[in-house]
Amino acid sequence: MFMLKKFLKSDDGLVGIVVTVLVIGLIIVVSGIIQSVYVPQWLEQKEADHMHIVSYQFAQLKQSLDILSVIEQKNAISIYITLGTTEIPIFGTGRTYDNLNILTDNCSVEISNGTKSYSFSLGTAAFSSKNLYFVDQSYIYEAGALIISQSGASMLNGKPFFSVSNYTNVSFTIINISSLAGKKVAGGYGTYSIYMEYLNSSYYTVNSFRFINITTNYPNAWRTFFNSTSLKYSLLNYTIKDTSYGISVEFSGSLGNLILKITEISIQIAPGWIE
Amino acid sequence: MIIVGKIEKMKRSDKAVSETVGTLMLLGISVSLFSVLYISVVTIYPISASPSVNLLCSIEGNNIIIEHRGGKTLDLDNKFIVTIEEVEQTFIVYDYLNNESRNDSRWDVGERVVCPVGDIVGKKISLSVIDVQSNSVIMMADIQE
Repeated sequence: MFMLKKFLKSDDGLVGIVVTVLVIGLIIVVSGIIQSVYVPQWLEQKEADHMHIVSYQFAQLKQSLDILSVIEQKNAISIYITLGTTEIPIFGTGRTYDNLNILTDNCSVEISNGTKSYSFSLGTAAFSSKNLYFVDQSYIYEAGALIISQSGASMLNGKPFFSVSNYTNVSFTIINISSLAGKKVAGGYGTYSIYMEYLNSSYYTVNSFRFINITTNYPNAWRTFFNSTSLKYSLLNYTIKDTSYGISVEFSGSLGNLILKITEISIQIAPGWIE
Repeated sequence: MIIVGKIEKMKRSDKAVSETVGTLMLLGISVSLFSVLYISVVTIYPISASPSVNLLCSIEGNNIIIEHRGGKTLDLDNKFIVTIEEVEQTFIVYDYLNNESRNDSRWDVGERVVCPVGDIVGKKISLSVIDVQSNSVIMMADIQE
């Protein structure tokens, strides 16, 4: 009893205790501010950096598919796509998970000359992010075009081969990607390989072609594509119309011939390969 | 009488004065120091980070084109500075976007700023884009040497 009274009356270590309480309070305030103000900024920057990496990796994907289409030989190329970001150290927050899909019949190209129509249903490769702070973006490879999409808008990042010769004759190359069941989806966090194997190429000639119809979820990107190709400098008269399914390019006046090349490439994205 | 005498004696005594004064001074210093630190930390103004955005500039005829190619959407009150042969001109993004792009009050992916700047053939041109909110330069480029 006496010891307790003596302890209560004693002021030994008073300054130390007060300073300790103040230091703990200060640490809590500082860590709270870091968590609520600075951590979101770090994570946003980290997610933006990841989007840059994916942009580069999708450029590699298009480049590889273009090479396979050009060489037309039974060859295969692998590239890698990084899904998700790691959490930041100490705070342990910010891990994200992304998706990579091979979608079947998600896009189609129809070319017609009034009497004959050629229609091709195409597969697409799509990356979609699930960011926590940075704007969500999708990278899509469809019919040879590389498209970036965010907030409902889309933009062409890489165009398919399209050229005009003799002022009215058009060469157009479309790449159709397909996949096997079980090898179409990769989701989560990590680096996944994309294995691409050339299958075959087919050529079609469409005389006096009048329409090119693209069924797509990204009409803005395709409109940009047709507005920026050598069509502008050709002798072909054309108008681009928005339709309920995508866009339609209608040619009038003196018509040309179109040589269409369809390259089939098989893609596998899940771990392991099916021969 | 005895108690009064003891109190008088205690009042006159200067035992432990230094310790008491020292303790009070230490407490005062500690409290004021941490108050200053606390106020400094609490009132730190959160710095608005420079937006992560891909902008691409080019020249088409006598127009300077700046295209938003993905990343954060930007405000329309952002500025861009065009320097032609050492002469600076400042423009507002809003004034050079088309009406369709202005509708959502944001500069978003795929939207292009088209700024006519007169005859620029053979002239040295540089461009800076400034994000007003974060007060930072988000793109700098020499677009024509």
